[in-house]
Amino acid sequence: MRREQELKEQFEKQQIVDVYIHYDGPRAYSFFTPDQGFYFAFNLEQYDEKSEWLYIPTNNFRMVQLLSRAETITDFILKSNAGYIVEIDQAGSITNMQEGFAEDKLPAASVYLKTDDDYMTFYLTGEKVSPFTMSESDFTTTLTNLRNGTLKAMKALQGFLPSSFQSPSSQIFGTPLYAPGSLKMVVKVESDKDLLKATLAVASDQIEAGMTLDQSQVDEVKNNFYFAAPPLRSRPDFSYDTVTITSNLMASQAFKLELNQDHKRKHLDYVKKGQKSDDMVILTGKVVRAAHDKCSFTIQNTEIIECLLDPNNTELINELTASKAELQNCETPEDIVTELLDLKCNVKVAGILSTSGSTKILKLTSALVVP
Amino acid sequence: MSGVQNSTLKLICDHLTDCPHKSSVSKNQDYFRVMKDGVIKKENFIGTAYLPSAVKNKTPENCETCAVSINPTPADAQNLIQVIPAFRRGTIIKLEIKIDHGRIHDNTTYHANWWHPQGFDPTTIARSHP
Repeated sequence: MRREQELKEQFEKQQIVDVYIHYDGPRAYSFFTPDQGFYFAFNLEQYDEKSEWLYIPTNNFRMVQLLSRAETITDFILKSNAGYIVEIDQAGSITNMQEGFAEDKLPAASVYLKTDDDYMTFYLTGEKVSPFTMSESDFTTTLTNLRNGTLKAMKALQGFLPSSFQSPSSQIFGTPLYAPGSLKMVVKVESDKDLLKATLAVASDQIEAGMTLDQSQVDEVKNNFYFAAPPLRSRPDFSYDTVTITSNLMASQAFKLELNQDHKRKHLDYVKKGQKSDDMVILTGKVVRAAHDKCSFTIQNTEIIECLLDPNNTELINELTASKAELQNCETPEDIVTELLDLKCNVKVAGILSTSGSTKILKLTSALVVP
Repeated sequence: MSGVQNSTLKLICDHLTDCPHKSSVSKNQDYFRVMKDGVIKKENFIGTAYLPSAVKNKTPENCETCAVSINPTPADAQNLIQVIPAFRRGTIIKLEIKIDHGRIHDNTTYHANWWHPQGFDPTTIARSHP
């Protein structure tokens, strides 16, 4: 009973995220509650004095399924763990609420949500993709890469940032880049527009607009944002084309970064370019060999690449061991290399790539075990 | 079908600034609308902001909520009936809209906002659609 009352209060304070069907007002939309619940709302009945809605707890990925028409509306609803049939009066107060899916009122089984607004909005709060963290998806990998790219960019920008960025109260992603609650991510579904160039231009323009930077600093930011692209071997299990992240750097400054799947190709081009001359790359691959003597392991990506682990780089060692429980018992870097091979795990590595004969060698600056 | 600006009409949204949107036009074109209760009556052509219903709580008075939703094709109206349960008992009517009947903004391919003139009775241009 108490839970029901709490839910009612949360529903009454809902904040609309995206309206998918508008007809004399929103008829199908998503909303957040103050406690970070995320729901799909569907108009069941409309009377002059009240309306009836079905609220379905959802998450970003389920919404992608619905919006990309991978699922019909009815499938989407009935596959949910819970549903709430909510009656709202003219004042916006909930007068009745019960659990259920209103099966008798749902659209025919073959009906999809048709909307021209082929986007959905992700809100990020704290370090999570709200309302749930999707650890297994490539989307999360994208976010992780974005975070890493952002961290690098911010490091590059250190000393150039306005003092307002240093506020400890404005930390998301562990960087002072975004104002709290201001970060918004929009995913465009099934679009063939290549926005990378424009995006980088926008990002750098925005950064440049607010700060005085050397060209080299701007270039470094661009390069690091480039690394925010999904890893080469990623295989997104849902159809998204464009990821837009917008935020307020400060009250008067907007930040916008867009990524799309075309990044994979461009990222590959970038890596190939990097292989001709020593350069920084980020790769993901499976550990296929290990060598104690050189303290190295070999990963299979689009090519075989030998990764050199500097035993004196404690930050790197700590980062790697922290990413997998089995590695935490290893006493030496050599043990880590052996364990990585035994686990046959995937690792995401970053470092300076060079070529020695026919061998590609990556001198690691960062390494993580990934799912 | 011609798109012209008609600035002499007093529209239902005239008390709002920058409304209707600059991209809206007056034109001669048939549109379609779903009557959720199947009845053609004046009360079914009131913008959300003026409805005594719970929907308005989600849509405070602004330019869009003063408008009436219409569809460019009967198929779009039919889709609404199929998708949104609240309209499942609805019927489709045709609106023979002329340039004197206000301003229209096609905000998606399947939906448009219509700001009609003050005192205008939309039922006079509404026709049953088979």
